[in-house]
Amino acid sequence: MKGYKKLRIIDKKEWGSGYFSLFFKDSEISDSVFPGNFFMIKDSSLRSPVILPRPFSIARVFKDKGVFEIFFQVVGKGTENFSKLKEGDILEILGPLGNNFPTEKNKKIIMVAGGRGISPFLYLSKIVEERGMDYILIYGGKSKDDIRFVSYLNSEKTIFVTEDGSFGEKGLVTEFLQKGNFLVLTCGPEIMMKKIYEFYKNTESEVFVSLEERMACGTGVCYGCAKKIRTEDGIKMVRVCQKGPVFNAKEIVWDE
Amino acid sequence: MSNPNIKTKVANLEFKNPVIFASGTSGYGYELEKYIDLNQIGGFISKGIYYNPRMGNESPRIYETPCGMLNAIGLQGIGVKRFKEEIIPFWEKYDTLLGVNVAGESEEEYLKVVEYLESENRIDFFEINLSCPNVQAGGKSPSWDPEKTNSIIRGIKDISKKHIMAKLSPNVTYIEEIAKAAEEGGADSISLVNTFVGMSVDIKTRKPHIKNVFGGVSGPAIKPMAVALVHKVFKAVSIPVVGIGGIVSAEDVLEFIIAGASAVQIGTATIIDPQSAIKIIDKLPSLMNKLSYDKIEDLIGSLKTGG
Ligand SMILES: Cc1cc2nc3c(=O)[nH]c(=O)nc-3n(C[C@H](O)[C@H](O)[C@H](O)COP(=O)(O)OP(=O)(O)OC[C@H]3O[C@@H](n4cnc5c(N)ncnc54)[C@H](O)[C@@H]3O)c2cc1C
Ligand SMILES: Cc1cc2nc3c(=O)[nH]c(=O)nc-3n(C[C@H](O)[C@H](O)[C@H](O)COP(=O)(O)O)c2cc1C
Ligand code: FES
Repeated sequence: MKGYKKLRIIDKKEWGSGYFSLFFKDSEISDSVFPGNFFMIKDSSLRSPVILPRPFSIARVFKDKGVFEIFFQVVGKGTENFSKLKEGDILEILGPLGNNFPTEKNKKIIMVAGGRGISPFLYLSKIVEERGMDYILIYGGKSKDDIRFVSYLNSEKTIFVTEDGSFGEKGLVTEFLQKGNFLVLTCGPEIMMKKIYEFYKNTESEVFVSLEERMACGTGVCYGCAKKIRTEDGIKMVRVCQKGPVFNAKEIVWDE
Repeated sequence: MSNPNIKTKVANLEFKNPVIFASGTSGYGYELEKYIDLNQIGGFISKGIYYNPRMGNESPRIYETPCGMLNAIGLQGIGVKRFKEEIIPFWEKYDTLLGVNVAGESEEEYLKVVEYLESENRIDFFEINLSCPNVQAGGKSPSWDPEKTNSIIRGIKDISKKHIMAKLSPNVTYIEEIAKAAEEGGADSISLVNTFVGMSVDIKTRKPHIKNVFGGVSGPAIKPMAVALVHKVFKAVSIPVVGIGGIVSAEDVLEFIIAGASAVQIGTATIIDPQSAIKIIDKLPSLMNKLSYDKIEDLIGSLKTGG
């Protein structure tokens, strides 16, 4: 039966300003993973200061090479430890887990990424492009240091936005949204996703968000990652790792 | 090489091996089906269950602390009706001993849960979670009070023919007294420990890391305290003791058994890796061989002091 897989880091990229990418080779994963899916990743060796696994989205996938990428920002002890690892070091990875972003709605897709929330859209933008679907990507951050993958992304389809105007357009991603009938997919700070939901609330557009609730197990056993969701049986605390991480924004009971 | 015997008994309950899945860290069981063969484990205890469904606490509910974790799930649960309709049928295909962790906001609620599930043959035992805050008593938990512990266990024994395991909280001054009260109430066994009360603060925002402010600490951080409490209770009562607290290896299992546990439960280790318990069970025989032990049952409470 499948559990955590020990995978070697085959490559590492330091982007600066606390952003890192780790690359792994496993064609079973690279063949089956879809944007929105996540992994639980842990380091069981003595160098690790933490014992619980941490959740990370799938970032880029190089299917022909059987390689996939995790893109992360250092925010605490777990991510700091991962940032210090080197090519050849081994991590344990469980997944792909969770659901994924919907794509087949016969609508133009608007992807909105905030900071490290770019991860799922790196691969998704390539997939929809291959399928010949119409899309745009709005990718925002505080400053130019929060914008990565510029040469990988299709410049004709991507609007880069920074709060201080140091790269791309100046402002907030929410200022670049268009009204209309779209499939809106978003990942980033919850406050940004909530604003996007409110912008499209009374329109024909559908909004799907990827939630970043704190997780301990990722397998559904601990009930640690619950979020208030509207279901057929009323409002429930739903496990993000089991029913998500992607939800229709109108199902979410947003914090005030 | 001999083949060590890893079977064990807790009163009338005969376990294939001493490793039981603890309550609240293993879901209802179905979540684990894709990662492990549930027939390989010693026993399984469901998530704590109240009579009615419960929402549980607001998030964040969990936070990692040094060598462990803090949780305040708030006993989110599906209630007895759905448990009977959805979870018991799931377990029919397995022969692993099944325990239900019984929760209650009042003495009456514990009894109602047991009464509702008593006729279910698939349930082998009830583990009574005495650490639930009691609403009428202003949030005090029965596990802090020998009289309450005694009367809840006694009440349950009056209406149930099943094995009753009393689960104790470590957050008390004199645990032997509570354990004895459970024994006198008729408990068939005692399991301990539940989590230790804990708290963790974000110094930047000055907010607690979990919404409920207080939570329960589990994981390797609590292991030495848990071993000590298991040993104290083992000395104080004559019913079997089930050890819980920070077990992550086969070595930890033997440590609890030598200190007095007849079996153990694994909690946080399953959160870390759904296959932890299986890896531990697989390793027990070779570890016992290495130490020249042939029977788990011979090791129970075999601690050598003095001399
Ligand atoms: C489905 C999912 C996908 C994710 N994908 C990515 C990704 O692709 N790249 C990436 O950089 N991060 C991602 N995250 C967030 C990432 O899991 C956390 O940043 C990480 O767990 C923090 O671990 P730490 O030990 O460094 O921090 P900790 O020491 O655990 O915490 C440090 C600080 O980070 C906060 N924090 C902890 N966990 C989370 C969390 N899950 N979400 C938000 N804040 C948190 C804590 O409240 C604390 O303030 C994802 C989270 C989820 C749930
Ligand atoms: C997320 C979580 C939920 C728990 N839920 C319950 C519960 O519903 N009932 C109960 O009796 N104990 C509950 N516990 C306590 C565990 O069963 C166990 O007693 C404790 O975690 C110590 O063991 P460990 O260190 O192996 O985790 C819970 C623990 C955790 C971490
Ligand atoms: S993280 Fe444990 S249930 Fe989702």
